[in-house]
Amino acid sequence: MIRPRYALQLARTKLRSKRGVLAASIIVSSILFAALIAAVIVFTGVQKSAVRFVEAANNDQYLVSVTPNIPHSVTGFYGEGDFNLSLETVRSIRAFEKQYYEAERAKYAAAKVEYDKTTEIKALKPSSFADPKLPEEQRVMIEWTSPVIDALLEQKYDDYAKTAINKTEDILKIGVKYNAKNYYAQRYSQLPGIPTLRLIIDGKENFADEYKNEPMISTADKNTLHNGAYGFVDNTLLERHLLKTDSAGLKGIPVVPSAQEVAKLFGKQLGIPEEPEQETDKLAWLKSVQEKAKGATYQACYRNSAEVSMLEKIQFDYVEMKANEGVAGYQKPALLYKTPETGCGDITIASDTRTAAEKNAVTKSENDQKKLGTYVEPKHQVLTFEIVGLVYSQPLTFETTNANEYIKGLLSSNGYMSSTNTTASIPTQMYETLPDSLKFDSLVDTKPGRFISRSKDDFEQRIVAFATIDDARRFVNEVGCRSSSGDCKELFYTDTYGSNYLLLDEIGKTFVKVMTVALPILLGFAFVIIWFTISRIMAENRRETAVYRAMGAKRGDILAIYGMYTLLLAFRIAVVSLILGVTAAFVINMVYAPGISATAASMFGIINNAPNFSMFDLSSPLLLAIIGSIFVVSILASIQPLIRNVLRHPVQDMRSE
Amino acid sequence: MNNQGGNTAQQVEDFLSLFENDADAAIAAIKEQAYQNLEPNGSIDSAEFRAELTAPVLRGDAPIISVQSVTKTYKMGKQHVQAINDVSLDIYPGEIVAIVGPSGSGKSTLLQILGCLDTPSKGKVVVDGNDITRLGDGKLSQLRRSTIGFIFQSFYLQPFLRLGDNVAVPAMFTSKKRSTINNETTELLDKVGLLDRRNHYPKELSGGQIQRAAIARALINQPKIILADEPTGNLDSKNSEAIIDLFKTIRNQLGTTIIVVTHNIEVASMADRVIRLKDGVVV
Repeated sequence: MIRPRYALQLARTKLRSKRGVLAASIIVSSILFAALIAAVIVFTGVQKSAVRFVEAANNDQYLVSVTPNIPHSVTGFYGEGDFNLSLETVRSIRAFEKQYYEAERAKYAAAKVEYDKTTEIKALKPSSFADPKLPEEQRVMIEWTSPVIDALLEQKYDDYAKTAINKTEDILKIGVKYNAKNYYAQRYSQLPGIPTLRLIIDGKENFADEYKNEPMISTADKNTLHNGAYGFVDNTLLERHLLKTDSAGLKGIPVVPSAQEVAKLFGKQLGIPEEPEQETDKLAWLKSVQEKAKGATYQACYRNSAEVSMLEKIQFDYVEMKANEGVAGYQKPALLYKTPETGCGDITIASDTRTAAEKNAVTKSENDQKKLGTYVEPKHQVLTFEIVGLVYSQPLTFETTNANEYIKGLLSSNGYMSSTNTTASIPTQMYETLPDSLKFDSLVDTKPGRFISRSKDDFEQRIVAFATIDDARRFVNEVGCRSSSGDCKELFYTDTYGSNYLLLDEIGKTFVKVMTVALPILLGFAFVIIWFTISRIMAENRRETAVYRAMGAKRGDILAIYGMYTLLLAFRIAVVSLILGVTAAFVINMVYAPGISATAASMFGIINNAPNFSMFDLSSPLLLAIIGSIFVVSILASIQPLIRNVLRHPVQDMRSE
Repeated sequence: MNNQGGNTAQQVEDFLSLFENDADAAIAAIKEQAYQNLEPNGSIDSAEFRAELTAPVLRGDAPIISVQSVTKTYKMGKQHVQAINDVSLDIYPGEIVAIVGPSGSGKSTLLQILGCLDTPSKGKVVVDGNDITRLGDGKLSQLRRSTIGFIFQSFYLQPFLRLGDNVAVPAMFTSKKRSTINNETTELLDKVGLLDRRNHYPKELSGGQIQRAAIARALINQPKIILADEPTGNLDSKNSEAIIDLFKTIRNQLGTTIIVVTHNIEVASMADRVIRLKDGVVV
């Protein structure tokens, strides 16, 4: 049997012949494999970088937001709609309404206040959309402004709460089964938004914004402070965004708004430049916002419902007088208030031409309210907030038009980040250390919306922390449905919180699945190319093979020579593939990584000491598998031509001599 | 047999002088008369022939190659073509034998059978005591490797191997040590006058040098038999002459049996014996 070194020596001579065919074959095969190699290197880099960010962002925890799913039948009239009520529902509402107003009348009687039936707002009103075939009794719709409906839903909620098994306390019990490590609270604050709470900018409240409650969704990142929307978030969850963690010396209610809104509202005052367009410049910008906004304070004016009503009256009267300017016989309102001229100043009377009877009627009404316990004294107070941290607001893009937006969407944190898009966060533990004088707890006299009130009680949202992604995935999948799902029958809504770690993990798994499909296909192409090359080389060397056979080479010797040739070919393809693939990945990393690093750092809010986002990682075992498969495919592709070649009778190829 | 034991070169020189050294005229005359003047009867009585062998020829009783009633039939499409028909002959150790005949006469087929590359359809061939019709592919390879050296008209040196490595190729299929192969290669290149070209590639050599290298390659495993198929077919007369001289030297020094298929009259005339084939039979 020929020795390997001689087989190698003779095989190498084949590489020097038909160089054109050989080079084309090597290049085409190598490009196929290089594409795979580059994809694996880049993807591994992206995945590992994303994981580094996820771990850094979540303090090595995998967080799941859990919100009890209170059925729509409790929170409304789900399944029936406002004007498609069943006869049974209509009758039950009417019965409840009767009881409600009977109770109201009794309350008035007890307080010795005259009951005015005309002030009642019926729970149901005639519906022009109802099916005319229905009995008249049923052709009605819900009157949502009626206090009866509020009371009815309140009662439905109370009834549900008595037997519910998806309360906050249940989250903790279920979490234990999934190895939950920690639980964090996140809830809306009791602070009512604009117009009850209005920013004081340059010493003034902007009353022109009275009804400009800016949209929360499309430009949410800029309007949480303006809208007076605040939520409590556990300090731990905000940790990476906090610029100060020491509660001592707080000058006001600690708040973590978005850098964008701070720049918009206080940019001039704090000397913050506009946000740059380039991703790579954003980190520097964020750092500068951090430096300038840290410890900055701003004020907002809290005005209770009575004062808000007075302000609404000013607005209403102003509009009416403007509309009737010059109209003969128009009489302006008898009582006119004056807009406060200083931030959170008193609302004063501009003119009062009311008759004594009118004034008496007002006084009587106030006295009645006092007797009933519903009177609210006009009240306002300045609230001071201190910026103790910043988040970078997530862009809320629903369509991705380019790779960068896709990556942003992929990397964007969710959960608290989406809530911070609609509320500015108040670190709970920091707030609790404030002196009462700085807190707003005693101020709030308005009853928050019913849903907020409920979530505050038994059905508060919790953030559950897991040590492993697998525990988190099981919990998310088994305990609840996604908040994006349309019709959730589960007891809870469960969503990843803080980052899209499950999505990233899924993408990683999907990539492996895609590779398991793509690899055989590409290997198939490579097989054909290598088979063609080896077949051609062998066919063109038949005479030489016959000469070797004449010299005494056995079939095994010929197999060894061409087997060695196959390995040399595979080696060259592997080397060229690696060079091309690694180079391509390196270039991709060089071009895109800086931008994505900046994007990821801002998306995850890790502005200082952000992990490096690399798109270049050679640690995937898939790389070895690809290189190995080049050799395997080459050997497999050579079998048929090799066998055909050695089985040829040398005389066949000598005869033409 | 008009030249047995004689000095062929001298005879050719004398012959050319008759034509005032006009080689073309001499060749034309040779072509006219050549085969009539050569051994008229291809079927030679071995005993008589052996008695006439010159000194270097080993006068053993047993032929090194014995061909007994060999027929070789090829299937070409639906037709069966008889390449050689009922050929019998013995070749003795140390003999130089020329196989001549027109194209298609079966020369190459006979050479391939003698070289153990092919087996007869009928009959028996014994090479160095081995009945090749009873040997499998492996044994036949071994027999070729140890007993036979091939020389081809087109030389078939590997263009991307240096001369030294080219000569060593047949030895690569043996279990010889590398140092042994190197020594033998050096010795053979020296013998054929190409030692200084050891590291040259074939493309850097002349046709004559290449064929000498091919002869050295055929000798690397010290074969008892050399089979040469038109060894001077691609050479000019000067180089052909040198090759003929080399064959004689090999036979005289090593006692190697040399069987040459040729159209070249000079090559044929230096042979101890000429076997003439026509339509697959010895005539």
